[in-house]
Amino acid sequence: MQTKEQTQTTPADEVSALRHRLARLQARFRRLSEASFEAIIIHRQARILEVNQAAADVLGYERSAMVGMDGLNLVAPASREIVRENIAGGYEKPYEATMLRADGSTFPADLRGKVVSSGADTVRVTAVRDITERKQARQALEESRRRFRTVADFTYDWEYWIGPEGEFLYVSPACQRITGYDRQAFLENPQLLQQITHRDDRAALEEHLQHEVKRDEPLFLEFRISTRAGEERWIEHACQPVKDDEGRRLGRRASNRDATDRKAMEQELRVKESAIASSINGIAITDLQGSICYVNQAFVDMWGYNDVSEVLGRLPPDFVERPREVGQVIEELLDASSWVGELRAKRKDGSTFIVQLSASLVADAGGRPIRMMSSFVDVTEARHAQRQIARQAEEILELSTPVIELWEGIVVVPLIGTLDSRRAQRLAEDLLDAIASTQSDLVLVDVTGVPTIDTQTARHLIETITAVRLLGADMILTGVRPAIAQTIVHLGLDLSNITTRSSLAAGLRVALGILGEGM
Amino acid sequence: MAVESVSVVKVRDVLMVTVPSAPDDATVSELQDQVLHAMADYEAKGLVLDISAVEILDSFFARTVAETAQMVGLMGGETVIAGMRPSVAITATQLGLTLGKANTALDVERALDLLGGL
Repeated sequence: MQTKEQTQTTPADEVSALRHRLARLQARFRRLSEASFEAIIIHRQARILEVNQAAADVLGYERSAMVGMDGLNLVAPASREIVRENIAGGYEKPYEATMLRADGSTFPADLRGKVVSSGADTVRVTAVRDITERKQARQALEESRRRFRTVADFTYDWEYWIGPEGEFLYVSPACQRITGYDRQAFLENPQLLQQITHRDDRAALEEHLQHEVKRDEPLFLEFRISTRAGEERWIEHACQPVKDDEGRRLGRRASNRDATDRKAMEQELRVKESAIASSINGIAITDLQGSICYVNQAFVDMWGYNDVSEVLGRLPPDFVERPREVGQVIEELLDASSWVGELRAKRKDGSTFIVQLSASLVADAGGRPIRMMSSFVDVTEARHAQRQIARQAEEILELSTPVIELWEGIVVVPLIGTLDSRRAQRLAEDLLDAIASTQSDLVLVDVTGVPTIDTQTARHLIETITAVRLLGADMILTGVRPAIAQTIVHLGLDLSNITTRSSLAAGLRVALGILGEGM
Repeated sequence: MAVESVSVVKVRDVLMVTVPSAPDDATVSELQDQVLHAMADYEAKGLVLDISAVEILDSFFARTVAETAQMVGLMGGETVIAGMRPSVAITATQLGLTLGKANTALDVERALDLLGGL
């Protein structure tokens, strides 16, 4: 009872006690809230009861001016609705809203309200956190992610990042252009790359992926794949290890380039190169300063050197008998962009030979000359052979029109082969000489060995006969085969005032008969 | 059309050929070839072309006979055309066909006489 008595107080005492308690609580709150970096606003249905200094600072008000304000005025109009709803509904989870400062500027904030009930009185404590920096940081992160993605996704080559376990962590969309398969296909099937690799190259790729990738240096590999459409493509692959800041392995980063065109070009070049290298013609390439930068084996052999290295870097005048000629050739070459002719070349041992040189200027894509190319053929033997042929032709000519005295007063000329004007001329001369020297009355010209008689040949024969008759002798044409008889008639050649016979024997009988009459 | 066979007969140094009654172009060309090869083979000194059976003389036949005579001449032989029918001779003249410089005889016998006298 004592206690009951003690607790019996007057209403006035009670109010004063409550006030006292409230003041204590407020002081406590103030101390607590001052210590907080967070802005804290205590309000009753948005009517502000108390704020801490951080709240006044962040919103740009005098602290005292805020007490009694409508809290919604601290919120940007766009966010007011949600804030009002959350207050009315007693929502206690964090949410974002845009706050409005005293100077009218806004900032993004995280709000979190908590309802505190004290008897019938209900107040809400709301914490406001300025998240401008966090937002900016997130935006910056987003931006940087976007940027890296762009860099990665829009590469022309097919880029990928393969994890330590051999799985694809990233595949650039260019894979579709090169392989026909999209990135999803690679991400889902780590074996796809091996599967589309050409059978002959698969072992090398397997070796590369299984073992070589454990090495630390960049690696290069070329292999063929079959695209989704079944086309064969050459891939030029380069990869290097990926490590994080602590040096842990995160797999390998690879670039794959479509090298099909380059390969085709390389092959073309190789074919051409081997054609030049194996050419039977000597080939030399010099730069515009004139120094030799390439020769093939044929050149080395032709000039009697042992090795290409003895020739490279030297100047063309070293290889000819008269160095001055080289200057003229180069001058004309630069002028007309090609030169063909003969030169006398000088071997390593000083001996000389004749070469036919065909030189040309090699220009780059823009038409500027970059190299001079020369092709040589040793024509020494050809020249020698030409002279020999000319000499032999002369000898044959002499042999081909032998004039034989067959009987007293009869000479025979057996013709073999085509009777051209040179031979006909020769025949006439030799025949007339023979007639004069042997005092023969009759000439038998046998054409058994003549393949055919044309107008030209017939004219030569008729001229010869005319000349023979001028000397007072006569001529019998023998060896007229059916084919020749037909040709003569068809050509309309008139040989009617010449005695003709089908064989030499028949002609000889005629000749002997004529001579017999004369005796 | 089958080429009518022509036989070239050699009597002493003379080749005798009887031309069929209606020789076509192919037969005439064949005749020329055979005659020329016989000339080369036998070195005959003459050719008697018996045309007593021929009823029609066309321009190809006339030209070929004239040419053959010329060819035989180049090979050292003499050609006599024997037994031309009067009607054929008249037609040939009217048409202006000639046999070139070939000799002619009434019949084969006289032709042989002519060659023998040469």
